Amino acid sequence: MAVDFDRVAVQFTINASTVSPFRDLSFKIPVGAFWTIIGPSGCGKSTLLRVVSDLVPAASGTARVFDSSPREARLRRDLAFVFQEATLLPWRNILDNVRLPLEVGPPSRGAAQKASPERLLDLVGLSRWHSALPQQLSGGMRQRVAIARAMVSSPRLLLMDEPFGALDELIRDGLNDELLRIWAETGTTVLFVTHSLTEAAYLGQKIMVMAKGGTATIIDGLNPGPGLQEGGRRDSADFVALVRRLRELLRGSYEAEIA
Amino acid sequence: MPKARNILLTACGGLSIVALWYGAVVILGVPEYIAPTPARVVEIFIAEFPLIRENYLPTFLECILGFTAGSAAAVLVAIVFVHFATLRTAYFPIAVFANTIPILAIAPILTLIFGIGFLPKALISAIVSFFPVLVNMLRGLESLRESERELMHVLSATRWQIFTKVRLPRSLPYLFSALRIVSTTSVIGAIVGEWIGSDLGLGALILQSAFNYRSALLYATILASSSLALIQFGAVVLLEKWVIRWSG
Repeated sequence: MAVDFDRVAVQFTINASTVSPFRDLSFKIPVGAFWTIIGPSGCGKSTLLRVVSDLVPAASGTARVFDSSPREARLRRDLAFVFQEATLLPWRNILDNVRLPLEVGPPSRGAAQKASPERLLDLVGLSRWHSALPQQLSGGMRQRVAIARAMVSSPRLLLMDEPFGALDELIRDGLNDELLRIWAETGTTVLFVTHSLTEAAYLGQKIMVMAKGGTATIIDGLNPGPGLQEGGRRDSADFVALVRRLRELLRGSYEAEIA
Repeated sequence: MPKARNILLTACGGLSIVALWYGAVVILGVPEYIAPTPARVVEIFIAEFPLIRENYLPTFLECILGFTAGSAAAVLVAIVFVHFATLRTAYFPIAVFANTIPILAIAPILTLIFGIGFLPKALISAIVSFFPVLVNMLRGLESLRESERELMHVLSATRWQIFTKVRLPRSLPYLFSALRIVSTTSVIGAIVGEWIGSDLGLGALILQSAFNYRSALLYATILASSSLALIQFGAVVLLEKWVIRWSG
């Protein structure tokens, strides 16, 4: 399993009161899968990614990442994280930003399988921008650089926290297809948090619908798997039905919260 | 075009003040020992140029040395404070307290210890430079963003790597804004040092010409002093342009 949560709970202390975004959360994500996570604000979507990446500890239960603790997985360089903000270092040019993971931390597994920064920039369509500074790029381009940077250490698990949340819809659609291409080409496992129903439905092989209090429903998505992408999926009747179903599930969780 | 226009406007602003000064001195019939005309200041500046130059060089060296040594020491102390919280808690409040002592009160102490030579003046200039750079550099080194901290954590970067790759570059804009301030105040430090005890330097020349009612020479010396600050300020601005080419 790429990620294995067994009754994981998380607790924060905010202004002296204890907040627990989820309790007893259990699921298993197989190696190579593409999962999307959707749910109302505050349900713990981002916290889940932060547990996997060793940014937040589990208060109880066990979280395993490739059969070891999140910390060990992080130190083995199994993980890469793409944040909502691209978080590029503004004094480094694009190529040097992509190289950053190669300059810090413990060496990643097998230097041979490391992807070259130049090739990754080709892959995200930024081959002519090597020496540009981040301030010269648009929001969508910066997010592509962040994806290239995440892939440079050949991670086995890519964690994405609303990476395209701040972008307009058409750019987002394009980047979704690009991401599917990269996923198909690298075989990495992807865990993708989003606010967008259509994005969740389009990208996920499985869609995890989280409600406040930490219950999660896992349903099948329409991503047919690597190498099987077809055009026009966003207009198909299946897709429309899936988005409607997601909307109903989410509405249920909002109503539970109000009641 | 707007840039050329701005330069022209600033030049006009400066000229208008000189004209006002000239007019006031002539119309009110102010005697020269109280306030000389601009023309007289220029005349004396040229006539007394060897004297001014002789006094310029020591002050120049004092403030360059004080400015660079004081700022460099502050940067080092800030780096130590960021890495060792205990030392910071122990010594930062003392630095704040020391900064409340007027520099005019410290100057005689340093003159007592080090005599009337070059060293105490450079030291006063360095002390004046130290505190603003320390405070700004500390803030700069701590301006690492939350997302950058998380990024470096997921990459398993070491403390040293986080320091060199993120904290240090992040601190540079803060450092330069302190250097801009200190580039001018370090000159005040050197001149104040010369007032306490010196027979050479622009500070000494200012006192001598004031005591002897040579106000044209006094004004000329003041102009020379402000050129020191201008040189240092300009150097800082150029260096900043060269080092920081990014924004955000």
